Amino acid sequence: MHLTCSDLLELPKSIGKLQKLRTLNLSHCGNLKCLSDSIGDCNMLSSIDLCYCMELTALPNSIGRNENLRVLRIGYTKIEKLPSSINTLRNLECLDLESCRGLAELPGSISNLHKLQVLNLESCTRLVELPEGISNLQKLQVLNLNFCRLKELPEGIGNLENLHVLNLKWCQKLGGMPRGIGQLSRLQKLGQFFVGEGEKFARISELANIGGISEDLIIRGIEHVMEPNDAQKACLKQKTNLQRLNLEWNRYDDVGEANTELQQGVLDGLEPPGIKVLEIHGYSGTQYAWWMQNEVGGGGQGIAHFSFLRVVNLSTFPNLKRLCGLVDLPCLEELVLYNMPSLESISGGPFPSLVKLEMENLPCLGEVWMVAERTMSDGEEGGGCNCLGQEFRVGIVCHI
Amino acid sequence: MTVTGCPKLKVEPCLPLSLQQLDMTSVSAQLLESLGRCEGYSSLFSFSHLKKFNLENVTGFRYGLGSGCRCNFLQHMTTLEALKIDNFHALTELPESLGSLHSLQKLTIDSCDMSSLPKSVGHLTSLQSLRMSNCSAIHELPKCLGELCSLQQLTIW
Repeated sequence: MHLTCSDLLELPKSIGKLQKLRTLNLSHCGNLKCLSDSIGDCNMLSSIDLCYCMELTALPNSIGRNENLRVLRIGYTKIEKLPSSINTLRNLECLDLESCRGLAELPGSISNLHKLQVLNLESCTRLVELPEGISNLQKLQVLNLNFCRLKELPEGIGNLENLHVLNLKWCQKLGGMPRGIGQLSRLQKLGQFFVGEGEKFARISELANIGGISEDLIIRGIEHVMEPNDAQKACLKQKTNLQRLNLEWNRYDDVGEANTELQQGVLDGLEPPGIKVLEIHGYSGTQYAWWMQNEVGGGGQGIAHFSFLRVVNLSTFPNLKRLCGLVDLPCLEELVLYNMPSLESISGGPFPSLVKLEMENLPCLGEVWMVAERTMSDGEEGGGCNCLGQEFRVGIVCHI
Repeated sequence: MTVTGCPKLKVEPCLPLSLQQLDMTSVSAQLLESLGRCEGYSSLFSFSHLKKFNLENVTGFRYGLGSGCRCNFLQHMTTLEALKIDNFHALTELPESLGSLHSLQKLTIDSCDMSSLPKSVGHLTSLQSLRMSNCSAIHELPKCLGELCSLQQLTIW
């Protein structure tokens, strides 16, 4: 049965007599206020879709009798609470609650849904915590928590052996990841990692074995990494599917000298694979990452390494003085340098593909030697000057 | 290219000639000088792709744009279609080379202390919009204004 009648207010009671009904799709019945209690009599029901029934405020408790139910979609409804009987839906595989913005909590008994594979809680913005029982959902493969305001994840999340996908986009309140998350060897799609403060949370090194097929990765709270070695153990370089990497320090005010050194070590340890977009925010070290510079330490290998890098966005580096010897970035199209109060000089390149260069709030930046790539070919090759590391070879800079 | 809030920035030997759009806000006059320099380049020195140039809030400027040839960069920007100069009080005159901007469609001047427009402004045959605001030193407009055959919008307040 598939209905999309926007004026439908309720279903007849007799619906309970439909003993062969398997699928009930009422999605987009925008004025539907309630489901008849008799729905619990439809023994064969395996799928209920009530998404976008925007006036629906509750499910009848009788729904617990639909033991054959495998899919329950109630996204974009006004539901504030799930019926306590939900724990008896022992065949439920997919529970979609996306954008149930009134939903304040999940019942702890959700832990009885032993067959649950997909739990979608995206944009359930009233939800501030998840029941610990979620850690018992052994079959769970996909947990979507994008745009949730959770402060923590259930501690036992490391038990969800079958978890493949964990979405945490825009979970701005999340303080860290629970310890043990790094053991989830099947968790290969992970877009965000939050480094928390203290022993309670997973260290960044737990990132080593998870998120292997993610194309995007945002690492937040890097200020909580206490040892450079930990950063190195995250083995970012081995995540070869990675295209976009975002490294964020979310607090950078209390910087002693020891701290700037630690941050330097941490950034050095987070060497990425050959990515396309790199954004770094809030780094408080005095020097930039060795893996992107020619002169310091190892360098050199960076040349082949970043041959596909298109966008570099570096913002709010309070202590960086020099951004020197940046490696040759043949595909770099966009370079943004924003808010670096101590930056005095920049050099490096060439960036022959550069089309957009933005420099904002760099109050101490003095003389910069910009050598356009095109003009370099006639006359000197730049080799002589380059050894001084003072040139900033920008190539074709334009702004489309 | 966008440069904002970099008061000490100075570019040597000059900015890339391939720029299509240049926005400069809160920069020093030193950076402007690098726009007019041609050392190391042939006589063909020009920003031959530059279409849009915004200049806002310049500090530490001592010369008129035309008086010291070091600062006369407009002559190198002949492909310019839009020029905006905002909050540049030290600017007391625009150079005669303004008239060589044959593609210029939009000229906006706000909060500058110039007393008149150069005579060559009459050569701006593509100019569709001329807007001057908060330029209290302006007492008269050049007679050649009538030669702006494409002008659609004239705003002065």
